Amino acid sequence: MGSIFEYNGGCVLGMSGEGCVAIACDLRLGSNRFTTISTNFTKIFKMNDHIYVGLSGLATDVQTIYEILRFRINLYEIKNNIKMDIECFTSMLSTILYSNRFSPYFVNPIVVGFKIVYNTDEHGNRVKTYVPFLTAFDLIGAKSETNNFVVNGVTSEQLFGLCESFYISNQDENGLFETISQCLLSALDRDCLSGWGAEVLVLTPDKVIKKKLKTRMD
Amino acid sequence: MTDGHYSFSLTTFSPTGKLAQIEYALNRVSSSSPALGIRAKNGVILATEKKTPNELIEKNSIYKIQHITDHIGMVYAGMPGDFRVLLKKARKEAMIYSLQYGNEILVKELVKEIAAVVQEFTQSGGVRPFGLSLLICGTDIYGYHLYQIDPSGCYFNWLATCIGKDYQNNLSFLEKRYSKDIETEDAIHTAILTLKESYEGVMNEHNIEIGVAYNNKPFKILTPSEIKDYLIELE
Repeated sequence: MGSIFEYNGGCVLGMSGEGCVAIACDLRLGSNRFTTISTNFTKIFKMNDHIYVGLSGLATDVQTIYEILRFRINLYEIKNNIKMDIECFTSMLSTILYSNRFSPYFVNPIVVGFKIVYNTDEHGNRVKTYVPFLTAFDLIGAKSETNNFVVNGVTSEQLFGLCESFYISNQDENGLFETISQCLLSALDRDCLSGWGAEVLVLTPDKVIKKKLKTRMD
Repeated sequence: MTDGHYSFSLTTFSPTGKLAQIEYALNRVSSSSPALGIRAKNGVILATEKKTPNELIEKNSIYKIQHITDHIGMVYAGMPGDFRVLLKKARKEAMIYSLQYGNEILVKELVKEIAAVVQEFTQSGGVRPFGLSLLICGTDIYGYHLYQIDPSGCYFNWLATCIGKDYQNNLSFLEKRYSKDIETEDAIHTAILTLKESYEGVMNEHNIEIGVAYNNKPFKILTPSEIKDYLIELE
């Protein structure tokens, strides 16, 4: 699906570490491919404390899908009186995308966050563990869950190459931040339709750190 | 739902504020075979009398207790035809939820959906209310649940309840014997004793049905031989 995704440009990237995950995106919003009309268009959206979504593709669909997801997750959480689980969320997103199989939303989402797993420890207490969870989708809802990194957007091929080379598993938050930032910055240098600023969010079970990266403004 | 000339609701208020059709539907329920449900400490059960109208009917073809999903079961007191409609609707709703969210529907949510359908039929054109009360029991992440839906569309969360014929007597019988930390095995015994109270004739493993969900296992409908074991224990 060639040039419709290049209309606005943009890319998203997610990586996992030891007890932490990170999601990053560029901040460019293009128009008709080569005109840049905003350098402040984030593609990362918080769904709840443990689910973050990165949406790259046609900007109108990015905004619409975000609103649809916000609607669905709020309704679910109110009706069921429970925080939505990340696997449930990915199933829901997949169904939403497939429901428009023949007139698709031109977005390629990624979902980054933690899966909450309940175990009982030696004393019989229920213990929560947060397992890093990454999934990438195509525009019609095919899920692919991985445990290392997920990429999507016009810069995905460059990002794949860089992540394959630079990714180190089980890094801590600081190492993960460095790795994801370097992958993103190097990829943005090689694509004219992404760039103009970048931001990175590093998530741990109890906090989120958001940083803006200084990039080449071209 | 409406077809032809009846675009007005056939269920209308009386001057005293009652809906006569719903009262009559409740009468229909109170003259039907009894069913009961008990929520135990580690499980929840449903039990019902299964009297066939005639000796010649193939007993294995009639099931009053049915699965909605692996983890949720349902029984009724009232009209079997209406039950099949609600059962089909309930199964579909549960599957639609699983399809969208990838996990099992919460019992309360399913009950709300079915109750909404039952209520629709009290406020639509050309239709009559459902002539049955439902008992729905199941397990989900919040634990074990027992709900009743009556013909008006109200739903109630019960610890233990009876519906159908002689339900008042059966309910008092149950109240005396119920405690919050009753075990599932005891609950099954209590259920059988309650059914025996109002049973005319000899109760055997072919004319009662019992469904059990306990220890987080799926909802299971007991086979006649399993029921026979419980009946023998109570001799």
